[in-house]
Amino acid sequence: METGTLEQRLQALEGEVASLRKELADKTPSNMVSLICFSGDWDRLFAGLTIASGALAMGQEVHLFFTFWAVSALRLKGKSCSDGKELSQSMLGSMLPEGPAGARLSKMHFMGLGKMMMRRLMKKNGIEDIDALMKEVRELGAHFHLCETSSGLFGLKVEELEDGDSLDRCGVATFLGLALKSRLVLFI
Amino acid sequence: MPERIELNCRGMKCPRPIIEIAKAARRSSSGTELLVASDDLAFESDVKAWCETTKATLVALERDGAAVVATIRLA
Repeated sequence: METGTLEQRLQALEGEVASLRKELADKTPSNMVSLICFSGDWDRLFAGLTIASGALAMGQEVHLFFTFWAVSALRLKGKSCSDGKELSQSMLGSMLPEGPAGARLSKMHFMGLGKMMMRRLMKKNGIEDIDALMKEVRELGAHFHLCETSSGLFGLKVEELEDGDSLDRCGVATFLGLALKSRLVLFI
Repeated sequence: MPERIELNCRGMKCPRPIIEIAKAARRSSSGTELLVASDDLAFESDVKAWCETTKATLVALERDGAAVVATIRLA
């Protein structure tokens, strides 16, 4: 069934090709990797940052979404303040670690003794320190997203967080939007 | 002659050698050759995966004592 002039048919065909191209582009796997950093444990953060740095080195676009206990990994040392916070938030603030280096080991922490031994062993083995790894991940260009609900729950303010101004404070829909486009999504 | 860059990654553990390769690659143009030496046991496997993912060519992989030296041509 052929209707219209040759020109009209050509136009229709061009339109169809354009929409198919777009569809194909949407379906082609991206080079995006998204990590949900949920745990605030030192070893889990370490694993997440190692994977993130590796993915960045492999030329991937990396998105890190910090939620719940992992938000403490974005806290700056000595910048904690109690202004305008509830008592329980201030208490949480004083108990939660400031930055990744202050986090606890998920196993064999032994009041910090286990972690001290672990760090010493890692240094001896030439394994990167967690602060250096975090810095590297930033420098290599990872995108940092902060779960707004979690940061609100803990009462965290922009000035208490590393690169607080440039942090993308977002919700689950933002993360899912990124995750659905990603080739790889990990929950750590 | 293409530009050649030597990276000594001896004593570094995963993921550091791969990060150093990526950093050098970001500073270099296509066709540049990277000579990377590493004594990390994961390196041989990792450098192959890095080349495959970034479409670089692994020109050679040679043993040098305890280390492995990879010659990479950047895509």
